[in-house]
Amino acid sequence: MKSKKRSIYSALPLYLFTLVFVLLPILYAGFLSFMTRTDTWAVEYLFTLKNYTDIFSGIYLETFLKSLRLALEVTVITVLIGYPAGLFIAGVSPKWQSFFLTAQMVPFWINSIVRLYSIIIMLRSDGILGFLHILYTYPAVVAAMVYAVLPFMIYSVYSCAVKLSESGYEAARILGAGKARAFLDITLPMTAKGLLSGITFSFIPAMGLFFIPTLFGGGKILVFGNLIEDQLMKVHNLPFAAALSVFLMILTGAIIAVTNRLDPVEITRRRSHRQGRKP
Amino acid sequence: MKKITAVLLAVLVLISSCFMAGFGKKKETLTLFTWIDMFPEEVLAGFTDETGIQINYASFDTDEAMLAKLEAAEGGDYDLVVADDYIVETAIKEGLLMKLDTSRLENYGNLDSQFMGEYYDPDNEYTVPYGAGIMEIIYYPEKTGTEIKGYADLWDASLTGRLGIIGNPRVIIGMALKRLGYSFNTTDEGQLREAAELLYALAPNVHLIKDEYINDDLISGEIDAAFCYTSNATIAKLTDPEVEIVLPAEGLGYGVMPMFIPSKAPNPDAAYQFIDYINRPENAALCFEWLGYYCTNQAASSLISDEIRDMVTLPEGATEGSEMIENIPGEIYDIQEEIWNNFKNLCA
Repeated sequence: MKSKKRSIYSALPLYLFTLVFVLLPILYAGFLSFMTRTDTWAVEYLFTLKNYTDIFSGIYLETFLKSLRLALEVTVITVLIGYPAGLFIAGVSPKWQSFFLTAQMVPFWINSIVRLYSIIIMLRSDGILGFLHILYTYPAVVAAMVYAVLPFMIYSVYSCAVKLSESGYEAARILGAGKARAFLDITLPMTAKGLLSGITFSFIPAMGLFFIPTLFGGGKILVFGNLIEDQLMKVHNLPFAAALSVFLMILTGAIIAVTNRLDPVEITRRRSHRQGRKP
Repeated sequence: MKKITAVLLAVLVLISSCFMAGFGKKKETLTLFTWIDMFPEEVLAGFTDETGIQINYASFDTDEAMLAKLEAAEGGDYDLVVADDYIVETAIKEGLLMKLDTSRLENYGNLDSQFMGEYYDPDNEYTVPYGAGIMEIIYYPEKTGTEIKGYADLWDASLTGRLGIIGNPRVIIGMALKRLGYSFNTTDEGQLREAAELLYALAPNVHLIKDEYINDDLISGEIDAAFCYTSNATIAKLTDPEVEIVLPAEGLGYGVMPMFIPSKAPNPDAAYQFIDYINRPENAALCFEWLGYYCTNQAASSLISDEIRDMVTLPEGATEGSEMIENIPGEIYDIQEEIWNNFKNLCA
């Protein structure tokens, strides 16, 4: 009983911080999203649903679907590169593990905008990757996004896989499972938690990182984050920007909720049962 | 012992510096509120040397941020503001500006009248101009293989995937409107829709939409031509003299940066002194060489260095058919916003 009380007190600073800097702004955004914009770009406290109905007209929904597609593509590529990399790092000796993890960290000591600009310089016509001719096109946006979110995937997979002992995989092999079978039935389900959190950490930023499409897409490729930024900084329509943010929050929330419900171990078990084998 | 002496000395220095700072505050100050880098250091220092007035340079990023701060201060806090024309119109309507007593400005007559009496301040009651921006085309003639004279040439197939434009809906839709012979500020939906169709046909040529440093992309070879602001054009030409600057034949679109004293400025006298100081021909010349925008001080034109003069002064008669980009009603703005988003989607 006593220890429980103490744990609440020890978390109090966190709750206060969250309340002031996370919850209040979100509530304010929610409130703003039902207000009216005046002709002088100010906010009038007059209830309206127009901001929400506007989202479903024309360009905004289309842009949302495009962002969704971009985020999915980025996530798939990130999984394809990051998942094997995470497994690999977890498999090498501790000395090499810390080497690879530090190597992952080093670029983070430099501001992300500076790193992205250096990539732009390489991709420019007079740069060393100029022959690719992808700057200010869709592939450049995808590549830069993958670059930005990849570390999160590698870390998530690594931290999950490093706790995994080899014995499960070896047992499956000894009992006659092929390499693919042993991977699919043992390694994949056991590391799927890390994979799923890696997916969440890649997918959500990929929906919102507006400065990457701005820098690499030549201003022509819009993601949902750009629409919010435009409404906020250029059009100065705060209520509509708030409505777009709330809409994005609800949708990403729904996506996280669905991902969290997936229990990979359980899914594998059920599948194995159906196939008449013990897991 | 040595240590104690050192500590005592340090404390003494600290205390005395506090006193000095206290005395320093009694000096007169001018709080200037504008974007960063709007005045050359030597002009600011020269003003302080001559008048003893310290300059407190406060900066903002966007016009909207400036207006929000000025509204919050109810026209106080700042002595002199330089911003864009459209926001100044709003600020005047909100009563945030002080009427100017031009008889207090010895150098008022040096100002260029073709950039005065504009829509935001038709009777020059509140503002004096500090620089004008004109939307220009910059390009490499040997790369495009054609001569560009006006907006219409930007639609040419030789520029497919090689054109960069600024990300300002009013300017870009305005370019299509002007090509059709309409006003930048039309409120006729039919004319806007017609311009939209014309603009959508430009999409295959557009490789880049960018507000800042589009000149870099022209120089590095990402694009062969750009439709951009005066500042971009000036930097491009200074970086590489091969770049050609074109004042579009169909008629120029331009904006002015007015300078004004807020209604409750703490030290309007210092503001008057500053306005007068920078409008002395020799000081204005330094300012416009530094700023790279069109010179709004007629007396300064001849003093600007040969290298830059052509870039910041207009040839005789160039303002014929030119028009400012003015504020438009909200519902027209919404139509422009829709056209702009459709256009960007087509460019992608």
